[in-house]
Amino acid sequence: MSGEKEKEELENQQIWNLLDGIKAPEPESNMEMRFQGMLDHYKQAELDKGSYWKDLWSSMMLLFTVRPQVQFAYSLVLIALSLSAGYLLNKKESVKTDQTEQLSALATEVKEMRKMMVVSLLENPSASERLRAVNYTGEMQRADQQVIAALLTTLNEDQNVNVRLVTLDALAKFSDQPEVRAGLVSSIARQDSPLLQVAIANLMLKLQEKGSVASLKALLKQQELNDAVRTKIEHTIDKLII
Amino acid sequence: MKTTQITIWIVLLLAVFPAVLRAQSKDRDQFNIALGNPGKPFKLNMNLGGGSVNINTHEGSELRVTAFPQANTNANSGQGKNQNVSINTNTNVNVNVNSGAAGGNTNRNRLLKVSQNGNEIVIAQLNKNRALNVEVSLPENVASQLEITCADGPVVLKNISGSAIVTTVNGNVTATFKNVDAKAPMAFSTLIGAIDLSFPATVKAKLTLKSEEGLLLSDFALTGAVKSKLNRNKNGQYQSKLAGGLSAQLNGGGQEITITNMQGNIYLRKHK
Repeated sequence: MSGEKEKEELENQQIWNLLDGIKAPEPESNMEMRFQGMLDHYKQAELDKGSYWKDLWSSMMLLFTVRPQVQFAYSLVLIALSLSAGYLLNKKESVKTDQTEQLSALATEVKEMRKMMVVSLLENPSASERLRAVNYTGEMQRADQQVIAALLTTLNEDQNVNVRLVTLDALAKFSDQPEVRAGLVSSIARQDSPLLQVAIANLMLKLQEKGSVASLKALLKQQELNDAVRTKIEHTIDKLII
Repeated sequence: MKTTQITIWIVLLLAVFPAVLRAQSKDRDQFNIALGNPGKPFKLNMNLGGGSVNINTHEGSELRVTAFPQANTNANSGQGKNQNVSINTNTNVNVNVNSGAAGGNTNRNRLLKVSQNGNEIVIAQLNKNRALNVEVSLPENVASQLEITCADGPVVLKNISGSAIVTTVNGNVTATFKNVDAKAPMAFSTLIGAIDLSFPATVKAKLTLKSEEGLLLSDFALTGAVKSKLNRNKNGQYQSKLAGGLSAQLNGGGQEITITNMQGNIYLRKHK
């Protein structure tokens, strides 16, 4: 152990001796000058860099101070960006919350209530209330079987001509539903009021319902048919047949 | 000589005059209907066979009804002299009839049938084949809901408070409203004839106008689908050809008023 340590010390000593033999080189005379040059060069480079940013900054300031409209445009861009960001964030948040679900449930409920109101009001003895009921259907996008059946009954049986006229208009809105068309055509024979006869002939022409021609011809056979109505229906049949 | 002749003529005329009067009154219904709740809103439903209908107002609290056949129709020479109408009272309401006793006699002369339930009154024509002129005077400023169906002839409503639903076939429909029930829908229709309506300047309504050949003439600046079609005529009225249906708003819109005819203009006036 101790022998090993001694051996190591000996080796170190040899290295130190060897190092003593090396001659340290003299510093070159121009060294200081070269260092000074390098330093100056670095300083100059740093100075150049700083003036580049400064130039950029000042040119940008120039850009804005000279043209206020650019300033204005820039602020507009900022506003637009923040607005759209806000909108996007907000939109993400409000999708499918409980409130919207509740609202749609409420809307369905209102629709159902309106339907019940229409059906029951149509049986009211007051023409004013029945008129109100028919007017309510104007706010419906689509009518279900129950409402259509109630409207067709009103069209065929209501005592008041004005109520029947308004009902015809209401049904016309749902005329893309086949049961409505069928109901309208079969109603022609049941209309004894000249106003209704004219209105229903007009509607058939508008819908280009050729299936109504037979019923319209049957009306012409009535002795008591109003003359103006007769002319009107003849014209309607002519136009439908073409 | 001449004076005696004249005197004889005068005497003769005087003698005949009461008979003429009597002959007229024979064929005339005239009676009052007291409301179950005077001064409260009432409903009047009239269903008539044709002739004419005139409705106006008076300061009293009852309804005054007069009906007589149109001159050019075959006069019905009834046998009885009671001009009372048959009255069906559904409940214990008081109905005042001026002439004769109420009840189920078999008088062929009667023209109208009245049924009443409180403030709801229905007047119907008994023989729909006769053309009758019917006049009803309503209590002024009491809200009424009028429902008038006339098979033929003009209908005139004056100084009305409330709402009306009117239809006839040949004849104008003229209605002047002093006050309008903002919550009641209204409708007016005739086949051949003008529809002439006057409302207070502030009335709000959603209008549906339908006419095949008529013009729309309005004192009101209407808005909605109709607006682009309106022109101002030389009287300062807004005018448009209808040729089908149009919707319009009166003072921004409100209750629905449907106006339908085939031939004849539609007038909307500001009530003065």
